[in-house]
Amino acid sequence: MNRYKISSLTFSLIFMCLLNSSLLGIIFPYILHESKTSFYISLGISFLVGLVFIFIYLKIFNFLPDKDIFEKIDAIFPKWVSKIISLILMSLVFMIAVIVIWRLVTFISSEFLIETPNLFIGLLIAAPLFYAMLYDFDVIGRLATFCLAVAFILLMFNVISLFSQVDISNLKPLLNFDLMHTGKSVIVFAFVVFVPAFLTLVIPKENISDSTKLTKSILVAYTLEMISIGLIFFIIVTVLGIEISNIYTFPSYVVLKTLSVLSFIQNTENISILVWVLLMTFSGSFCLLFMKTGLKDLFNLDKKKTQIFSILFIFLPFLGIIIYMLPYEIYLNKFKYVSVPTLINMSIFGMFIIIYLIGIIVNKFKRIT
Amino acid sequence: MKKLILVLCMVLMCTGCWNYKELTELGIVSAMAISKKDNKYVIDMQLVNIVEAGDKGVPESPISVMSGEGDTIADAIRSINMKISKVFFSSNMEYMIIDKSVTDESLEEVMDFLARDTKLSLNFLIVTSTNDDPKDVLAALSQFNLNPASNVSELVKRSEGRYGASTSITFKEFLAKYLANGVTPVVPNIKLVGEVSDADDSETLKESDSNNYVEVDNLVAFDEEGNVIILETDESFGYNFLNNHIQNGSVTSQCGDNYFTIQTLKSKIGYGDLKGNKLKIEGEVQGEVFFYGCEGNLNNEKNLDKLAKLTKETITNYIKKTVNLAKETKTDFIGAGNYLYKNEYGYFDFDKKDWNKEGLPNIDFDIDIEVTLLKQGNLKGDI
Repeated sequence: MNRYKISSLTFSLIFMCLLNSSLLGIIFPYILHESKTSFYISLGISFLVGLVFIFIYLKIFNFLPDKDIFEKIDAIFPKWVSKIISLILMSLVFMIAVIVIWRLVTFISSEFLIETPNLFIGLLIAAPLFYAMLYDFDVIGRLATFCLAVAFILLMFNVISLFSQVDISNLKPLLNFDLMHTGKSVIVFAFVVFVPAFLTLVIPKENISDSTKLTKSILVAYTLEMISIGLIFFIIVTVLGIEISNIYTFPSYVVLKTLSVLSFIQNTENISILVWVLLMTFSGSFCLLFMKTGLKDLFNLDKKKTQIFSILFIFLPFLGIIIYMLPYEIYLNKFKYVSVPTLINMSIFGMFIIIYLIGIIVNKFKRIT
Repeated sequence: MKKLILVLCMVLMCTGCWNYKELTELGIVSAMAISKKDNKYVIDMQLVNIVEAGDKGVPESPISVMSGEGDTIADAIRSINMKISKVFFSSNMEYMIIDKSVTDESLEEVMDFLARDTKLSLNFLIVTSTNDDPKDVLAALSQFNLNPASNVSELVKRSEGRYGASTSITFKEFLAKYLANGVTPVVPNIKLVGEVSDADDSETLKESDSNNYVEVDNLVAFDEEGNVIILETDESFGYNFLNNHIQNGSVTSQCGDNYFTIQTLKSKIGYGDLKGNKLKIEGEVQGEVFFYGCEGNLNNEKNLDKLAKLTKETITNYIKKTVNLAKETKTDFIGAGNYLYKNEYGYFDFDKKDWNKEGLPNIDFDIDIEVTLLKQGNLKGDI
């Protein structure tokens, strides 16, 4: 078992941060494109679907509570099968990390550091990830607290500043949805937003000091997160109008460009957008830390030197791919930025479900025999 | 080890300084104009010169206007770098002149360029100049503001709120109306008064009665073919009342041979129910007596009621003229189509039919405005 201990509050903050991993680059543009002014229907249904996902998550989390997800796999499956499953899972999480950070880096390179070489932007973003990998989940928990505190302050500032520009008539027509588009946006939302939070299964339940409060903490965190997401959608659509929201790659950034407080606080979008930079960097760090834990469990890497080797083993290919992919925003931008992460998250979700179901069967079989 | 990595991480934070530009290397763009000549885009750029105003006024012009030409807008802008060594910084641009030569199908290219540019904000104003060369307007200096671009921007905003015959429209609002169903953007028209050749002469600023300045003219819309639709003063008032752009505007009405003026304190007018093809325009205007030249003492309640009634007729007339112009020109700059799209979804198929030609001409408007007078200035009645 891992040595660190975290509180249920810190755990739920990590959970909350991970829900934000793909909002800026994937969810906001896609949902607004698909659902248009009926985004609130998609969000409402997604909220209910999210509760089902949390129910499933808690079931898996409470199953073998002293073990992290890799140890659970190891306990359920034969040695070589567990290694293959763990490696597949790590590969999929690696892909999520690449997509999240790639979206962040393309955002930065296209909006701020236009003339900076890709190599330096890649290094700029990857360096904190590498640094975070040197630590464990208790430190990442403190990072989550910091990220969410900054995010909360910036979100409040942005919402209050933009409120004077809200035009409720931009929410109309209210009922222009069809089942096909709403269904598609709910599926994408459910998998792309909720599944990254499942990565917290890498923390064993017994490492949470007050685990009895966990369910309540997660539900509160989830509800607050969904309210925040709803608020951001509301601000984007009412301030920009659905037509403008639809044409931009990053509508949540463009809306901040209109920010003007008392006619003299202007052009602050580069500070306000920090909220997404922090949350996406956090999500990337968590994914890489997930993989580091996987390698550690899989190959019993307890020595410091071997751990550094595992970190480099994950980090160097990650950095290489990010720097290689960076210039290709234009080719991957259209639909693959949604379909690829959705499929990866679906696969991860499917794997967790299968692991859990087989785990129950194996447990029952063990009890009978 | 961890500290060393932390220090290295912090060093990487300086990547934003890569290829940094000193302030002296920047050409700060305060206004811009896009036009087309001989099928080529022409960009005129007003750049700010950093000058100090001393005891004897401004020693040199506070602005420079540079022009470029190209097959695309981007080409035209970059071609200016053949004449000037500065790197253009356009984040703080105050306004953009969209010339009548680019209001046809070229407008889509203009919108695409402005929306795509990551450095531009969405808050600059859009204006047009139907009578003058945009370059002359950009080159004109102001007696009241060292930065002529700020002067024009303030002028447009002030005349909207204080007078009511103009309107300010930001790029965000323009783009939203350009992309939306059932509405066409309306922009303020600005013109040069006086001799064009004197407008950019800083010597004229030293005279107290300079006859060269930029003035806000009436509002302008463009039809689907890019033709200019000029809203006269009454129609401009009507447009602004209909869109609730008037804050402290003034409404002058006739009482017999004389006139009185009401200053609006609050105005809220909008579309209401649709019955058959009849769309209601309803709302309330609250105001105070600003000027009274009529017969009959204002301490008599009946006279006050009469003023309210006459003001109501004037505002109704403004709106009626605006609505009629929109129907005549088959250009929905009044936003009736957009209101129906949002509130009576399904009434008209905006995807398959042309609202301006098949929808708007068939709509009748029923105007019902309430006018309430709340104040009458310092006097109890009249002198």
